Amino acid sequence: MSEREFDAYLKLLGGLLRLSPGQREQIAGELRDHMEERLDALLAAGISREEAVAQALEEFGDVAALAASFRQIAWNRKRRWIMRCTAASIVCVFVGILAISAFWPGDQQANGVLANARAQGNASQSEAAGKQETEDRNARTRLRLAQRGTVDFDQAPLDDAIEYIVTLFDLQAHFDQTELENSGIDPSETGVDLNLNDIRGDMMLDLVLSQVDCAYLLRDGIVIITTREEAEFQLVLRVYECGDLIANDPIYSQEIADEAFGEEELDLECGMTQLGSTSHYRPEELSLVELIKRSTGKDGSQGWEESGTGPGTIYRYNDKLVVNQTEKVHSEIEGLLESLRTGVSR
Amino acid sequence: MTERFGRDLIRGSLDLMVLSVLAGGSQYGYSIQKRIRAASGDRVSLPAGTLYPLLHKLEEDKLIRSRWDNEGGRRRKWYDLTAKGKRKLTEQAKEWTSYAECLGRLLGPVLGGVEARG
Repeated sequence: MSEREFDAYLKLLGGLLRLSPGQREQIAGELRDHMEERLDALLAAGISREEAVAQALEEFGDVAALAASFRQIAWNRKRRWIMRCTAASIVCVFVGILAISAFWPGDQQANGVLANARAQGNASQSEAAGKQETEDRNARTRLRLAQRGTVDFDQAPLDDAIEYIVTLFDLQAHFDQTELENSGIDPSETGVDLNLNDIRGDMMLDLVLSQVDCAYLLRDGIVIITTREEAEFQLVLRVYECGDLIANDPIYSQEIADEAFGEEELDLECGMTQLGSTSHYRPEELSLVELIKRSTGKDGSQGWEESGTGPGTIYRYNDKLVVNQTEKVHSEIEGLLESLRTGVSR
Repeated sequence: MTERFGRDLIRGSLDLMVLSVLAGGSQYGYSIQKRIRAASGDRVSLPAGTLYPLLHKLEEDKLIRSRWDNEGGRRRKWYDLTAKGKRKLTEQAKEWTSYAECLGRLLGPVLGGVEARG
């Protein structure tokens, strides 16, 4: 016997578990056995099938919470494994160094140096290709950070919290020790709280790091954890394809017409100065560029050069938006564009 | 029906209850739940959503072990105590019993009147 409602619940659970297919199947199999036996018992007690199915499922509670509990266990296992591995690899490296220094013959060392030199030659030849690869790696990391996951940190040390996120989304992270030390932040001593189901990875990072006045950057696909101040210095240029949104932009032609008439006076009394040259627009008539400038970069001094709120710049070139901003604001822009496309806010 | 115990009260002892049910031999999730309910006279209900993560955690801690079985045409996951689980159960059973006695002595006078009336 297999109830469709059970299947739906278990499928949803499987999707949220982020475990291997084998592990997911085992959990689903075990829970299905329980559901079916419970259903039999409830039916035998004279409850209608529909009610019995509903009750059997209700006893498992919210599917996201259940998935979070299972994932917490898997995470603890992974963490123990990582710690064991780290300890083991330190021993291996140490033993390895001892062995190499004892048995290293002279001519092999020379060969090693030659091989190194060859590798460096190749590296300079492929510099252009390397740049493209770096951008691809960053894009891959951003894609991973656009996935969703569940966190439950209760005064977790920052380094543990980051390790959890890194494992969850299969990333690499590095702590900018110098900057963090200068600001008196010790990742193993600083606690963070976060308890949310099904949130994007980039948001997870933002919410965790903002608690300790930190932020992240992407370099060659690696998540660099540094102070908020340092991150604000680092602008990243990205080009957004927005043909679909701009095609429906009612303001584009209006903007061009307005430019011919010159800028209107700012209405100081109404406190509209921050709206700049487009202060006379009603909110529903914003252009995409203006919409992005007003909706993002509101934290600290991460805003826009034109409005005097930060270092960012944004230009439209045909169907593309060319944006020079911090990683954090880029992720805000990405979220905004996604919401505009789907009509759903994240 | 007797009133159920509060969640806060039983939270710290759920794993002990599961271990003690398994001390009697192999069980699967649903049967563990039923046994705990019966043993407590319906005063402890361990919802499925709590039971399974708990079982997996106990297995992770190597206090119990599991195996799959196709007996009776039904694929089922059975749990057993490990040696470590048995040791832990004995230790914790001693600790809880003396804790309960201690609490009983402290609380006895509070309920003295009620007991007399009951």
